[in-house]
Amino acid sequence: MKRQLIFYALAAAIAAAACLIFGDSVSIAARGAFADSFAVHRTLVKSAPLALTAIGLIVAWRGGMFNIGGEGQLLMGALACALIYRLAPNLPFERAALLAGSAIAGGTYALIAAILYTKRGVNIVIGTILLNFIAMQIVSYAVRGPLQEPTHSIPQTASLPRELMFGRPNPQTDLHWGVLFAPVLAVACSIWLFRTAQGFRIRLVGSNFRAARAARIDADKHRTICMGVSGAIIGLAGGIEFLGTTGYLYDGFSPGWGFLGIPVALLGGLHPLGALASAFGFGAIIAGTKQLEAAGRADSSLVFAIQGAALLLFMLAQAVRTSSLRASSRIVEGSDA
Amino acid sequence: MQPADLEARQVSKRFGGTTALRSVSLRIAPGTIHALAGENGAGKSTLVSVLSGNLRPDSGGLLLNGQPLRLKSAADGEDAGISVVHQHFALIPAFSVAENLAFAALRRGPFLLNADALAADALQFADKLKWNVTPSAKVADLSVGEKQRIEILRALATSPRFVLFDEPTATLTAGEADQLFQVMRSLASEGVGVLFITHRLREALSVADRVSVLRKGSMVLSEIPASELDESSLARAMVGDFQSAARGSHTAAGGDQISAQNVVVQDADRRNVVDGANLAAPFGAITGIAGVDGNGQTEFAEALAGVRGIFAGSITIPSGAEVAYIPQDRAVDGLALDMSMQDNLMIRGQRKPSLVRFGFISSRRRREWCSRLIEEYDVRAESINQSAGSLSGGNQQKLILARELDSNPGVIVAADPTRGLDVRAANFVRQKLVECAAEGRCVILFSSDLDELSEIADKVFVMSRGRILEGDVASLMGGAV
Repeated sequence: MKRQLIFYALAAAIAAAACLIFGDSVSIAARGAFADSFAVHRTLVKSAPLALTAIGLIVAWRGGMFNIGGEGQLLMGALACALIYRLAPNLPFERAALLAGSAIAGGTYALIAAILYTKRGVNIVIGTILLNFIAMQIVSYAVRGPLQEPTHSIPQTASLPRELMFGRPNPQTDLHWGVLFAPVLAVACSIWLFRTAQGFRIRLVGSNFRAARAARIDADKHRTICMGVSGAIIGLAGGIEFLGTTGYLYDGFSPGWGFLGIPVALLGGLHPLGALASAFGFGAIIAGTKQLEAAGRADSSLVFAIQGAALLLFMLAQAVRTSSLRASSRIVEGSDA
Repeated sequence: MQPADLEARQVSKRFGGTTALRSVSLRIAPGTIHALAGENGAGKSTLVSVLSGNLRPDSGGLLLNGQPLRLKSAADGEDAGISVVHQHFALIPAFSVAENLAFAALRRGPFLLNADALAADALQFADKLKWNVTPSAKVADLSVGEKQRIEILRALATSPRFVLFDEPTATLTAGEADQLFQVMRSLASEGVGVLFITHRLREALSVADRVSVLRKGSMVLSEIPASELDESSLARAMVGDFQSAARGSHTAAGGDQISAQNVVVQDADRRNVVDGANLAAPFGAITGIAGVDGNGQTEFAEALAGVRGIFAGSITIPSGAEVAYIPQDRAVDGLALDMSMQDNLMIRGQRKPSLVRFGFISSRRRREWCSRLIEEYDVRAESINQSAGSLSGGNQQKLILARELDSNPGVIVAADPTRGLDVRAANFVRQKLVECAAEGRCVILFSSDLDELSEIADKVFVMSRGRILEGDVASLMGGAV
């Protein structure tokens, strides 16, 4: 407990020192993230895909499935939107169909890795990472080939008409109603994981699959379920991004949401609600860095540096925590003898 | 020249608010066997950790041959000639037996790794002990008892001057334990100082030259010659209020029974680990199954409990009878150690309709149910949200019992349920099993502790090479070893 306080104090001291040294840059960044409704909207727009991918990853990780394939699942979700719109542009509930398609595509894509793991023993981390690259190549092919916009002049898909896109509370900003999926899914997943019997079984499989097995719980079934749901949520993040901000698919559609979601999930303490908070923090950093970039102070890759530093400190704090836990569990081992 | 003693002098160690050792002194002389007895939580493992360099004491220190000895790590301890046979195995599961054994010799060995050559020293001890060890086998595939043998071989590989055995006999059968005692004696006769940690009083008295007893972190008996002690005085020193589980009078109700016929279970390599086992276990009685570890008990227990599929044969359980399963390795199969006690109870609770409605768990009912179980089974903890890993072995086992027995299962399959527990906790577990049988349930008890089986089982079979044998237990066990 004392040690944790020391860490908080240290973090506050570092932040204070940074503000003193880089004061004006910090204030530019803060203005970029929070100063007015434009800034806040920018922060929220950037937070939503981070939160959704992180929530998706958490669902899989809680089941012991280390899904690192967020990027691929998100791209497949967006690709499904582009494909459905191309094949059936006039469905009765087109927007719902696009979103459902993105979730199904992301979920199915994640299930490939899950089935490779449960049936053939392919390491889930390796499987999902490699599927990321395949997804990137598929998108790259699709936007230059079968799904390219009608004039065939730029490598991107046809733009959605405005009425299919999510509505915007303020037409001058990028903020769209699709961001609301993030808090709704965060709450839903929290309830599912922590308040239902199935969520409990998934967490048990993730914590100790042998204990689950001894209790006659089918570990592979629950691994498959959590991977499917994980991929569906991340695929949906791709669909929401598609329907909310761009309206078309292109090579750089995702600036790495699937990867950025990993530290967001970790810093959110592997809890969907925590991920919501940490996604907001990182959304603010992304928005703020954009402002810094505009002011010529920094490059947008600063985001990655900040994220890396935060993650490093977080893991350090975790290491200190587990080592003190281990020290206290020695009492227990001692008391076992 | 004075022979080199290893001595702990007035060692104290605290963890947070708990005092594990309170000014404890202990001397291990070369060529002698010193038994250290004590209940769970008495501080025996902590003392071993201090002696081996794993833990630094808060005050007091070690002396080797009268000279202060400062150990910064277990490696320092090994360099000083102190080896530990750990209670919790310190083996690398993904490595082969030879690689694990080579690991101990690695720091002294040549640059290029030849696991078989490095393991040769340790494997010689295996021959000496007449232990059948396959160097190429993967440690993860071995049974608990076999792993312990590797652990012992590993400690001997460095030719230490002092060997600390931390509860080595917990999983061994009587015959295996006798062999181990011979090893201890031959080590002692070669001038090695042996410290033997145990809570089996008979063993302490039969093998040791001197006996010390720890209770709640203090030394209550110090270096008393074994000849001056008897079991009851030792038990009194250890626990204060020693109570033996009373044997219940069992009445077999009806003709109902669990029957297994020609059951074959295969392992991952398609070997028949259970090879045509037959068993009839009546309700209202404890059916004991003895045997040396690794003869298919775990697999057969899992098959009876429905955890593992069977390859051939049949298992018949009267319809409607729920099967409770208490696995052999509670830390691996029984509990999710980093989850809370509440969650560990929910491993069963998530099936209870009274706690789960439409798939949703009622927090209030869950809390009430868990609190009731913890009180009923006397699990000592500060809060139901404490992690299961933070509990002592006895309390962990009580948690499993509470969870498995609460739903009044018709059948209870228990594998070594008292392994590593102190006298009191073991008696509690046995008492519960006796009660279950008295209530007319069918208890199938797999145990490597013959005393336990003779104490509470109504009928004892022996499992050997995947089959169930009936007859004189002692001679069958002799054959099995």
